[in-house]
Amino acid sequence: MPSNTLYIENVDIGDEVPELVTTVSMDQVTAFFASYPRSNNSPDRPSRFNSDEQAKKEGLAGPIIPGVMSMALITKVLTDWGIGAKFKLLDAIFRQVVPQEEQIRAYAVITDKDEESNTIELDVYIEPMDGQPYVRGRASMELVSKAG
Amino acid sequence: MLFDLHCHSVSSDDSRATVEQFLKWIGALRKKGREIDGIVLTEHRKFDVDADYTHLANKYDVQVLKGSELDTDCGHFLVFGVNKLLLNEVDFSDIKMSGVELARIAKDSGAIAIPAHPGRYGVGLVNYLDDGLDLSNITIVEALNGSARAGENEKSAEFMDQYGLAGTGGSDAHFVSGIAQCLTSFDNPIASETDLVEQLIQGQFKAISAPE
Amino acid sequence: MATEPTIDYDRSVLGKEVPGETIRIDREKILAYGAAIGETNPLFLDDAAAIQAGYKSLMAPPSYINALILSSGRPDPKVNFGTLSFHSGQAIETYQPIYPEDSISTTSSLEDVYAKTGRSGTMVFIVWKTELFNQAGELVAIARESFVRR
Repeated sequence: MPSNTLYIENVDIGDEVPELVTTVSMDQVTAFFASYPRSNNSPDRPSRFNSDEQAKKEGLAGPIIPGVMSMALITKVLTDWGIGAKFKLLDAIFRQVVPQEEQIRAYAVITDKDEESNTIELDVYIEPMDGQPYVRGRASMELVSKAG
Repeated sequence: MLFDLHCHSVSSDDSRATVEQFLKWIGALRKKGREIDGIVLTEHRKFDVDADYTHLANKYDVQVLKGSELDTDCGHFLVFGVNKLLLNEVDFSDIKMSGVELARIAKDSGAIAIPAHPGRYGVGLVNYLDDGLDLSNITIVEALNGSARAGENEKSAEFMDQYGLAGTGGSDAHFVSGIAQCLTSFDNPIASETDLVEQLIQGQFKAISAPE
Repeated sequence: MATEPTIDYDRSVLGKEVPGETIRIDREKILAYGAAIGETNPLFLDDAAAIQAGYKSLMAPPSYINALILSSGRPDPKVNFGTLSFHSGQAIETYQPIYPEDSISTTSSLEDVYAKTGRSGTMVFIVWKTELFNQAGELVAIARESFVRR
């Protein structure tokens, strides 16, 4: 196993996963949808994701990050940290819209650990630098055990 | 004693936390020096009569009491000391029940119903004050709610000051790591739902926030 | 007694399985997806690193499952409530990696329609479940999308 493998024996309830602090631009959102095999979100069609005007027409303060992109950022946080782990589940609730061009942090904390199944559960968050979470959820990963 | 008077397990349709996970998390908080003695499960629109958490409470040395959070025509209410009389008189699944009547019936049955997050937009009592509500059976509200958005707890505090009400604290946790964000500190021991109602009525408690 | 309101929608759609298009996984699209989110994990970028870790080749990040769910072609349950629709939540469960050149087929079904009252008043939630299979017929993932109308 790589030397930086994350073992179940080395984590505990309450441990925090290193956070990702980032700002997502409209260009990134556009590139995100462009990477889809097929997408309903064409850059040629104004939407809450690629148009300030359209976002405001829909009652939003400005363009937003799609929920699935929030999930992608959360998953990145977990897979960056969980070297050797298998990602099992992410259940995300989009409590509030996530604005583009605003600094946000994505992070997770371990909330449960089962050494029989080598599984951990985590609460995951995307939130502004100061305020209530935009996205909240629960994730599950299977880690490697030193016992093999 | 410190209790989280407002939390939801997976028995509430919108929670992602089991009771055991809450208690494990409290164990982790205690290792960091936090003091928490118990939680009250206030599940949405129901009371789990048959749920018995004694085994878990003993295993993790955390008191687990049961209550409810009910929807009413003037916002949500936390109900403590739920008993057979109250369950016979009130349909817990009725989202349009009279909050004023709920408070009265709870009091008459030996339970207590207090407005949850009164300052919350839409589902807090302050949104309905213009309806001329009879607040004579409301002496306590939830002052500190751990899931409050900006300004909501402040609105609750204004309301409390205006009407001379006492205030409790609870996390309103729907996720494991949200537990114990806000608590209620009681001067006297609590070992049961009956003790809890008695201590609330006696008024020797205060709401507190978790340390930063 | 008032519980949540009865929702007006086409109940014949509930539970009906709808096959989606089969999608061939494109390596360049996986890499573009990773670039859009700032991906640096070598498992999703580099064949040699992924093979060394025990995988067939580089693979799609787990959240790429969401990119394979297409709403077009689904029957419209004609939910008669509200004027605005938002994506309220999504859940993914992963069982197998997804590799370039895999052929992923999907089957979707309307799993639930229910009402709930919250801060913003009464809302109606619509939940779609999608199962994703690879060319070997293995279940690679399950996704549940939840939309809210208000």
